[in-house]
Amino acid sequence: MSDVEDRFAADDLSEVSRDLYDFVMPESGYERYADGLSREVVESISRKKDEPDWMLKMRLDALALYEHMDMPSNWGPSIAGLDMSNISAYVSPKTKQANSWDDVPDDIKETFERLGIPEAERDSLAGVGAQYDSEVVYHNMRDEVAKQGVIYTTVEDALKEGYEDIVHKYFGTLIKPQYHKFAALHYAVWSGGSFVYVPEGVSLDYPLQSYFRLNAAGAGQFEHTLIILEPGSYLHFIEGCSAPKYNVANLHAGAVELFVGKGAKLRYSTVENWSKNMYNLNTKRARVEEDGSIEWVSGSFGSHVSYLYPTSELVGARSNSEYTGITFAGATQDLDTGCKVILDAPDTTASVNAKSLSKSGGVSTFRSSVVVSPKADNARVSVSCASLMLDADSRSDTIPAMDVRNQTASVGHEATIGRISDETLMYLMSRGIPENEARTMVVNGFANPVSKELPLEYAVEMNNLIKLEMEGAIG
Amino acid sequence: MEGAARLSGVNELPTPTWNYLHINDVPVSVPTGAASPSYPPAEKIPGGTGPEASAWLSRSADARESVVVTHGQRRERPVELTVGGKDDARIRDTLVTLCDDSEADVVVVARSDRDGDATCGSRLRLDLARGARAHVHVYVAMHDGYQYIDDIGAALADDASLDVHYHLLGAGLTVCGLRTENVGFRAAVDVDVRYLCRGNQTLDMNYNLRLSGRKSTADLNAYGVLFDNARKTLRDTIDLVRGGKGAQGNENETVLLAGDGVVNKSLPVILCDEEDVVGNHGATIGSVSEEQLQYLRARGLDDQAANALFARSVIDSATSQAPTAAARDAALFAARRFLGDDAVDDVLDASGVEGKEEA
Repeated sequence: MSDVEDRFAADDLSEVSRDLYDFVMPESGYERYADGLSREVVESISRKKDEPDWMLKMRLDALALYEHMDMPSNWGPSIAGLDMSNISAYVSPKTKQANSWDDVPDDIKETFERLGIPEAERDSLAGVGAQYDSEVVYHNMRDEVAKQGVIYTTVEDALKEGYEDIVHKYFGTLIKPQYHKFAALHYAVWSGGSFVYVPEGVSLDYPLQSYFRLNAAGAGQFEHTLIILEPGSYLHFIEGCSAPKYNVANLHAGAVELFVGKGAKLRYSTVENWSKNMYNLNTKRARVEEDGSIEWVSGSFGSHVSYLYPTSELVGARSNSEYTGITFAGATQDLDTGCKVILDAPDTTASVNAKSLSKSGGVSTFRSSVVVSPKADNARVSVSCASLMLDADSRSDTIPAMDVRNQTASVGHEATIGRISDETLMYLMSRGIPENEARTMVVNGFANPVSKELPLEYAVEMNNLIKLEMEGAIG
Repeated sequence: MEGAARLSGVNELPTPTWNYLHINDVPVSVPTGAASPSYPPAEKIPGGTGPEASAWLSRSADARESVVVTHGQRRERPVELTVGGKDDARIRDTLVTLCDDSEADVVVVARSDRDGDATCGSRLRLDLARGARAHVHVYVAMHDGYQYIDDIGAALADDASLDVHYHLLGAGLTVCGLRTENVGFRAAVDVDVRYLCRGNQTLDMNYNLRLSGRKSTADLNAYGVLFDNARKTLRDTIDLVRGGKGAQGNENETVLLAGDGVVNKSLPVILCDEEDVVGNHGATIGSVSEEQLQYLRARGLDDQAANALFARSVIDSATSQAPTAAARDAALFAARRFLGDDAVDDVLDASGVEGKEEA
C-alpha cells in the first residue's frame, strides 16, 4: 500500500483527522493586495502577469460589469456574510513556478506533501499543477505525455509560450463575463489555474490533476481552467481543493471552460473540501461537439455556502453528458449544488445521478435544469436524485426543472428523500456492528455510485471525508 | 372602459429557481375596472395562485357564497360553482366549511358559450375540520379567447381528507393553483390532474402540498397530452414541514408530447425539513414510443389517430367521472374540440353516461 493509501485508508476515525486539511502556514513575506476591488487592483494583477492588452481590456470590462450587476434577489443560500471589501483578490507567495518539488519553498512543499500531491503524482498521474493562493507554484507533466503534443500549463504561461491565439479564441467564450455577477468578478481578477490542450486522437492513460490550496485568511481564489480536447482525444482531469478554516470569509470564484471536440471524451472529477468559512461560487461549463462526451464526477463536502452547477452544452449530434455527484452538508453548511444540461442537437443524451446528505443542521439543495431545444430530435435524458436526511435538524430540498421543446424527446426523472430505515440499522446492528458504524456503512453505500467513478486514492479520500462528517469532526 | 393590470407572483414556486427558465411564475394580465390590484392582507387559508391573484379574484367576484356542512352531515347535492356561461357568474369566491366528520362534493365548471375575450375565475377555500371529507372536481373547457384562473386553498385537520380531480380541457390561458396545508394528524390529500392542450393554448399549474401534520400524506398524479403549439407548466411541490413526522408525499407526472411546437415545463419540487418522512417523485415526458405506434399501426391506426386515442382517454375519464350535468357538458365540449363532432355520441356511449349536452 502506498503512503497515500496508507494515510487515507484508516480503519477507524481516530486515524482520520481534519488535520489532514486544516493546517495553516505563515504568510510572512507574501505579496498581498489590499482588500477590496478597484481598477488599481485589476491593473496591478494584469501588470504583474505582463498580459496582452486584450486581456487587460477584458478584465476592466468585467470589473465594470461586476460593479453594475446585481445578484438575483430570489436566489438560493444567503451570501450576506460575504463582503468583497474584506477580501483580498490577490495573495502570492514569494516564489516562482517550479517543475520540481525540490524547488518549491519548504512550507508550501510541506503543505502539498501533507495533502499527498507529490505521492499521487508519482503513483498515478500524468501531470500535476499545484496552486497556492493566487499563483501556481508547481507544474509538471510526464515527458511521454508532452511528446504526444499535450500542453498542460497555466493560462498565464500559455499566453507567453506561443499559445496566445488559442487562449484568445476560447478564453471567456463559454462562460462569458455577463453570465452572472461572480463570473464578472472572476474575469476581473482571475489568476492561476490550468490550460490543457490535447491534440487530435491523443488519449492520456493517466489523469492530469490540478490542486488548489487557499492558505491565506480573508482571501479570494479566482483560478481559470481552460481545457481544449481536439477530435477523438481523451482526458481525465482531476480537480482538488482545500483550505484551513478561519473566522473570516474566504471566496472561491473560479471558472472552468471545457471544449470537447468531435468524438472526444473528457472526464472532469472534483473532490471539493474547502473549509467551512468558504463561499464557493464556482462556475463550470462544457461545450460538446458531435459524438463527444463529458462526464462530471463531483464530490462536494466543504464550504460554508456553495453555488455549483456544472453545465453541459450538447451542440453536436449524438453528444453525451453524464453527471454523477454527491453533496454532504454538515453543520453550518448551506450547499446549493446540481447541474445544468442543454440538449441542442439531434440524438443527444444526458444522465444525471445526484446524491445528497444532510446532517447536524446542514442544508443541502439539489438544483438542476434540463433544457431540450427544438433542434434536439430524439434526445434522451434521465435524471435521478436521492437525498438522505441523517437527523431532524437538517434540511434537504430537490428542485429539478425540465424544459422540453421537442416532441420526439424522452425525459425521465425520479427523486426520493428519506432517512436510513430502522430495518437497515437493525439488520446491521444485529450482526454486531455499532450503530454509528452501521450508519456510516449505509452512507458509504449511498455514496458508492460516486466514489466508484473516482481513482482509488480519491475514492478513499471521499469515503474518509464522509467518515469525518458522520462523526461531526469537520469543523 | 376596463384597463389591464399585470398580476405578479401568480403560481409562484415556493422556492424559486433559475430566472432564465421563466418558470418561477406566470405573467397574467387581468382587467382592472376602475381600481388597481393592491397587495392583500395575509389569508387564513392561502391559495395556490398566490396572494395577488387571490386578492384580485376575491375583489372581482360577482358571486360569493359561504357553505357550511354541519357536524357529521353528508351533503347530498354537490356545491356547484359554474362560471363563464351565458347565465353564470364570471368570477366566484366561495368558502366551504366542513365541520367534524362531514362530507361534501364541490364541482367547479368553467365554460363558455361562444368565443370571446374574457377572464373568468374561481377562488375556493376549504376548511376541513377533524375527519371531514371533501371531493373537489374542477372542469375547464372554454373557447380560446378566454383565460381562466382557478385558485384553491385548503386546510385539513386531524384525519380530514381532500381529493381534487382536475379535468383541464382547454382555454386560451388556464391558470390553476392549489395549496393544501395538512396540519392534522393523518390528514390526506389526493390530487389527480388530467389535461389536454392544443393550438396556442397555455396551461399553467402550481400545486403546493404542505405536510406539517404527523403521518399526513399527499399524492399527486398528473397526466396530459400537448398538441400543436400548446404550452404547459407544472410546478408540483411536496413540502415536508418540520414537525410532520411520518409524513409521506408522492408525485407522479406523465406528459405526452404530440405537436411540433409544444413547450413542456415540469418542476417537481420536494422540500424536506423533517427527518422521519418519505418523499418521492417520478416524471416521464415524451411521445408515443415506436413500439406502441407499431402496435397501433398494425391495427389500422395512423400516428395521428394514435395520439387522438390518448386524448380520448382524458375525455372519457372526464365524461365518466362528471358529477354534474354542467361538468359532463364541459367534457363533451372538449370532446367536440379535440376529437370532432362525430366523437360525442361515441364518448357518451363509452362512458355509460346518458343524455345530451345542455348548451
